[in-house]
Amino acid sequence: MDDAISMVGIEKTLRGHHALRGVDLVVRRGSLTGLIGLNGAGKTTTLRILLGLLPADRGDSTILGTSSRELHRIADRVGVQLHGGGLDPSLTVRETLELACLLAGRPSREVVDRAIERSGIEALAKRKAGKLSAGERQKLALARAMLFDPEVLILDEPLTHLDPGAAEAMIRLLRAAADRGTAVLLSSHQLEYLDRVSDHVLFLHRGRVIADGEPRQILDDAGLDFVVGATPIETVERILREAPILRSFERVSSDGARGEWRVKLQGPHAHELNDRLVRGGCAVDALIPDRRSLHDLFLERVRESEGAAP
Amino acid sequence: MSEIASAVRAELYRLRRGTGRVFLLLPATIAALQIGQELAAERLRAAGAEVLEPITGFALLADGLRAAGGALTFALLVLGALGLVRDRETGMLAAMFTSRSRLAVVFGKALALIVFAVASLVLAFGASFALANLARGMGSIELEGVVVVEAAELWRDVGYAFFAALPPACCAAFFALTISALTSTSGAAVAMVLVPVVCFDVLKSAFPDSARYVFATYAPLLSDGSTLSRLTDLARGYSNVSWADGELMLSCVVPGASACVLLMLTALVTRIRSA
Repeated sequence: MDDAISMVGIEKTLRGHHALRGVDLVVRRGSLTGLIGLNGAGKTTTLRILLGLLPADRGDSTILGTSSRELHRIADRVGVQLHGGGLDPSLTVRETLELACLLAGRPSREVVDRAIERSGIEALAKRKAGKLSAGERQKLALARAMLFDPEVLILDEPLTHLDPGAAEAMIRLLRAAADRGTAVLLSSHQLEYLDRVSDHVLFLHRGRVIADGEPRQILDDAGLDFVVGATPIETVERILREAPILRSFERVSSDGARGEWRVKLQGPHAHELNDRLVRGGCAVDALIPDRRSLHDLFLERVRESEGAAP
Repeated sequence: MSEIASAVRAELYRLRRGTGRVFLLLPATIAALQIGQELAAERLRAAGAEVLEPITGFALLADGLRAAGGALTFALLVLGALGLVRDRETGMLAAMFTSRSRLAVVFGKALALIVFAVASLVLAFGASFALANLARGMGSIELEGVVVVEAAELWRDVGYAFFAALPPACCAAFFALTISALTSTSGAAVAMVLVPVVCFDVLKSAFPDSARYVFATYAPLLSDGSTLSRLTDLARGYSNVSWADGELMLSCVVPGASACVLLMLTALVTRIRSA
């Protein structure tokens, strides 16, 4: 079975508030999946349920075929980084990793040395966790999560507090782990990194999944944006209204008879749009692709979701 | 079992590396200070030509152990109170629950506290014995040349007192652990553990009958009724009756049973409560 993580129909109410409403999630081996959402979207609740730290009201969740409630049975195959790190401030970096080895009932020296080296925290080895910066704590928490080269990595906001260089390094590390066959699930709201490296993203908003799929596919499904500059305005708008290849359009500026529109195509129909405008007697002086990022798309989906909310 | 064993090892590692090592040495240090203070006071009285009460090393050993017992109980109350709640505050508890079952984590913490208590008391015993033996020697109690209590008898009483002091001390730790599981902040946990225990210790003479069924009656504390407290009388020959009927039994059974109940309650609360 390729599915390393599976969550089906997860619902959870916290203090009378619907934190999760039927969340489905699948993470395959060797893939990097981003769980994306604004603060309070339900990312941490989803991960806590997945890790068996919080019971779901409804639904099932499994990791490597084992119920989340029994996660401790396969603990050495799953690496976890919780929000905030979950570190003992009185222990040094090395001691923190040694403690994880003891808790797992495994020998520590070589494993700890390798983890410190791989995570680039050699200089911090003797520093107490309580004296580390937030970014350094993140690195330590990730080093602990990856201590035993787990088959599954579950990370809650691992990029928070990291400077751009450190975030890039961490993303590369996670991508490499996924390429080696590890199933990586991370929650984040820093889409600029996930855009490029994720195999799969899941947009979560107010406890609902509002988009789910490969980043490229989600962007393609959402349609392609173009900026069109043409005259005269009335004719252009009539043609745009009648064109079946358009998902939507909006005028962004006008200057006399000339206007500019942001149009959203249903697919790769830019040439056809140009033909229609020219055949209709319009003078097209601009047809510029306006490729949206995952970030833009996410915010757009959030706005749509807000509009659709009862 | 291996889950619990690794949880105990991990917990002992944390106690050894963190602030726990200070608490580990505290009872032995207090015992040494107590004996040192007694010897210094005796020397001052001797210099002032006062008539000194002849005491053997057993009296000093008993005084040292009693002081150490009180310090140990307080150390266990504080460590137990912080045991779960501090880890919940830092997120460490959730991290532990992802690698070990909740039951293993709770039992690991509880068993580590027992190991800590035994190690701490053994260290205190070692320090007290070394000082007492050096200063007085561990001889029989004699009165006007007549042996009142044999050394062998005193050693037996020391053994009884020592081992009977452990269940109430450990029960105190489990009580603190239960409170730790129920509270949300470290400060609240420590306050909710120390205030009732100290109040009970001070006021327990007001309700002597019912107090027999409260574990804290037998825990070495300030005005305690622990076996270590009783040992200080025996080691001076003030009493020729070693232990009243059922006294030792009660001091083991009441805290032992209470400890089991408290441990189960802690495990239940930890199982139900979100990390």
